[in-house]
Amino acid sequence: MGKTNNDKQCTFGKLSDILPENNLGRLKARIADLKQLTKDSAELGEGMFRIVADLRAVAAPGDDMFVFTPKLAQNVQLLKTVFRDCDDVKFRFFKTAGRQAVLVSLDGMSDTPTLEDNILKPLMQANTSNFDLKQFIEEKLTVATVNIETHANIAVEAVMSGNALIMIDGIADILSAGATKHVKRSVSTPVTEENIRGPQDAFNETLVDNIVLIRRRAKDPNIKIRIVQVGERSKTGVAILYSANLVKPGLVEEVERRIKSLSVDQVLVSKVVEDAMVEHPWTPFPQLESTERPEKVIAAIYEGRVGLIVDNTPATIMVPCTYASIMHAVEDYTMPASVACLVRLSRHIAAFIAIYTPALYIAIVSYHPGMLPTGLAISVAELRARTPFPSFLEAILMEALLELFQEAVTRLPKKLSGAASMVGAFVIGTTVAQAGLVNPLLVVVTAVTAIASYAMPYYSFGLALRSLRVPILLLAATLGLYGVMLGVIIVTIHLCSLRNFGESYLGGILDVALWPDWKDGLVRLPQKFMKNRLIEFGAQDEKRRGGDTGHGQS
Amino acid sequence: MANLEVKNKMSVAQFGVLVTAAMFGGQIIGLPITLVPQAEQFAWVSVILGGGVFFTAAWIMMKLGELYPDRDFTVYLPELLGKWPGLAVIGVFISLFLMVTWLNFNQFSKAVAFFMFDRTPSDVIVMGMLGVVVYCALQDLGTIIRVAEFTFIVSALMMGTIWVLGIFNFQPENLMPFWTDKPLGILQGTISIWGVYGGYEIILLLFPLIDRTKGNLTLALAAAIAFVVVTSIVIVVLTVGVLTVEGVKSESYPTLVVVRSVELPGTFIERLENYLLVAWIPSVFKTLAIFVYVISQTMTKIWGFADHRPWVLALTPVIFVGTTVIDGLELVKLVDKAVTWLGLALSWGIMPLVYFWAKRRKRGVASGGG
Repeated sequence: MGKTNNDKQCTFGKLSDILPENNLGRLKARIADLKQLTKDSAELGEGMFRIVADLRAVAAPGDDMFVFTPKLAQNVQLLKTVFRDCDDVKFRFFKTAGRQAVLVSLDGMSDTPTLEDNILKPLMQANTSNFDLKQFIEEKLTVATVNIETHANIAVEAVMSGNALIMIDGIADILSAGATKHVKRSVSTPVTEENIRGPQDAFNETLVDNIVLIRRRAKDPNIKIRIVQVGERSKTGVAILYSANLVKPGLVEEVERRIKSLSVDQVLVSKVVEDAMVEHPWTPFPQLESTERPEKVIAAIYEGRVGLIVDNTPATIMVPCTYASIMHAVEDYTMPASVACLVRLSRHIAAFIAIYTPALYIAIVSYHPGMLPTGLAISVAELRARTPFPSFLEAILMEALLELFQEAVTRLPKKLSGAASMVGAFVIGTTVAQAGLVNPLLVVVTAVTAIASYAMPYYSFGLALRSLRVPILLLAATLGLYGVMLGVIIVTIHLCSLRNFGESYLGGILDVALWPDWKDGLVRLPQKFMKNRLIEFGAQDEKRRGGDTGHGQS
Repeated sequence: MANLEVKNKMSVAQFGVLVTAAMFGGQIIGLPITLVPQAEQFAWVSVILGGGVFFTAAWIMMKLGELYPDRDFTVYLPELLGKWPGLAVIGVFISLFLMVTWLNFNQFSKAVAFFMFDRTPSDVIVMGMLGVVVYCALQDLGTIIRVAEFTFIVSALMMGTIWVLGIFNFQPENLMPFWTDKPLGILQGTISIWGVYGGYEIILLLFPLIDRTKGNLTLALAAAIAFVVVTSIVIVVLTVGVLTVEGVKSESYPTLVVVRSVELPGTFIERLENYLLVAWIPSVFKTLAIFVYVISQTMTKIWGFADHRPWVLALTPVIFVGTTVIDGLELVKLVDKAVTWLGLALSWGIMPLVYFWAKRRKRGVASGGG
């Protein structure tokens, strides 16, 4: 045993000699630690029990934390329990009409002058005799929004939203007064969707401001706004905007149903809501359109579509969305129709180039060089002879480099991205070709492809096009032009099969049933020819002007 | 049409495009080699006569559908003719479409292999196209209609543009003499080009899905047939005008040779037959996708399935094996002939009889009831 075993001798000794970590002194110390832990646990358990007991002091209905009572002390205790360790929640005790009262607010989220001048001042000056709360609210309280809350959950949420909670001893009614004011970005110019002649104001991160931007553009009571909350913890507001007498029957209800079925902890970006709405989560193509331009949303609403403004994010969603709607830009309507037609057509061609040009290059160079004019074929062969890789590998190398630089430039701060772009242009444009890794013609092809993907009016759509390039390249490398055509067909089938809220993503563009939509589809005709709304979105009123003058819901 | 629900109905115009897409496809490239040896310079007359003949057949099928507006032929044929005779007619329909699918796959893969991949086995080409066709046929009807519309319009525009370039080598004297001493050849040609018009039979299955409240279905059918007539006339006239009758007889793919002979000096474009083949690929694809969907949907209805997709998957090996088994020129010709006679038997033998029988029974029921 122990050391004696090493010597193959049988000797006897103390246990602590053999196992020094078990000596009496150390064991005593460990037992003392254990005792302390047990004591702490007991105290913690007791604390938790007290919290639970506090919360359960007053019987509350199923999903409520507690119910308010006429006893101010008890209400304060309950609220303090809820706001335990929330140092930014302020309790301001004062007297009103001879009674003890308290004002609960969230520091920084509530407007101090409003709290002082419009809430505290009138309350402190209230008459002692015959104090009637309802009469006081109607005659003295000078805040725009006052609600009497009975549910604890709503009251707590009101405080967290920046409202002030007023509790008066002897009165069970709790007042929630609107005093929200917080730090926010002011309305500024669009960052991702700049234009030349269109409006220059864009959505910011505040739901209320964004709704104002919409309301200011259309003084139309038929534009309805429903606000629902999503996110179990974040309680983010999502505004559903639509025109009551235009929207396709059933669409708003379906949108609301999908939003309400969203079961997430928090909604910090509108993409979370978008993901809940789409039926094909794995497709690279954006199935809902988002914008930071208010005029785009109002135009969509007047086409019978639905807008979704998500609090805390400037990206506003429009549903349904199709390829045609994605390819529309605000500039199309601020330039002459003839020019807009050309721009739109070039945009569609750019979408094709963005996916298929490298694949066509590989297919023709590798499988069908006979399709090239003789001079060009010889020139290409000469260029390719200088590079060690097969054309497919060259293309993949270029794609990888391009993606690396794009990602780096996107992630870097603005000051550095310029430098990175220069390095990228130098490396891709010159050095790679000079080093004989890639032939210069492929550099041209890749550059054209990248520029074409930047021409897309919607950034996410450009990303989707980029993501398809390599699979199509593989098809081209395997089956030449036949493979490219198979790729074209696969993409077409996929895009036609995408149907969010019933609309075929691509199918509508050449659908004979939607033929009249061509006026604002592949091309854009002058406004005087566009008397009808797009059939595709199923607006109730087909006429754009001179039709409905009613103000009620149809 | 309402937008939120699943789009399994189609408008008359959509049906018009769908039926045109079903007809205008695989056999269009092989038309001159089938027709010109029989009708020679007067192949265009055969095309026009064929248009009339097959429009009448399609019209009879439409009229039959009108007698049973809410049911397709898998429901009313067994009721009308009895279970087994009804199923036998449906069997003819399925066999016809299956054989046409084999034939189209076969001819397509041979042409593509011949002009684009001389060292690639045609089976590889069949596999690629079959995969894409199956992917499309697995979708719902609404998607298939939209895919067919898209590919039809795009491919027809591309093919038309390339074909018209053949006019640079067109010599009108090759169409002479302007009279024939072989009227029988023209008539033979008329019935031998069923393959070019074949596809209108889909009306038997899809009739209840057509929303007939707007538009004229007869007009849509006529427009579909007229489109095929016009394109076929352009093809045969251009082919004979460029190659002469004897030239057409000696070529395996005269249409592609016509396009190959076009030279556009000073342009970037050479070897136009490759471009034509590229444009032909979506054209063949949409025809085959519609056919596979129609076969699988018919099987679904007969066997009482709720979903057509298992039948699409079950048909995949059958189509592949059938396509690869048809090997050799003689066998292809035999199958082509069998398909033509089967198509004619269905269009001009069985369905007119069924129509008159159904009409008689309806009249009997009406007079009995009244």
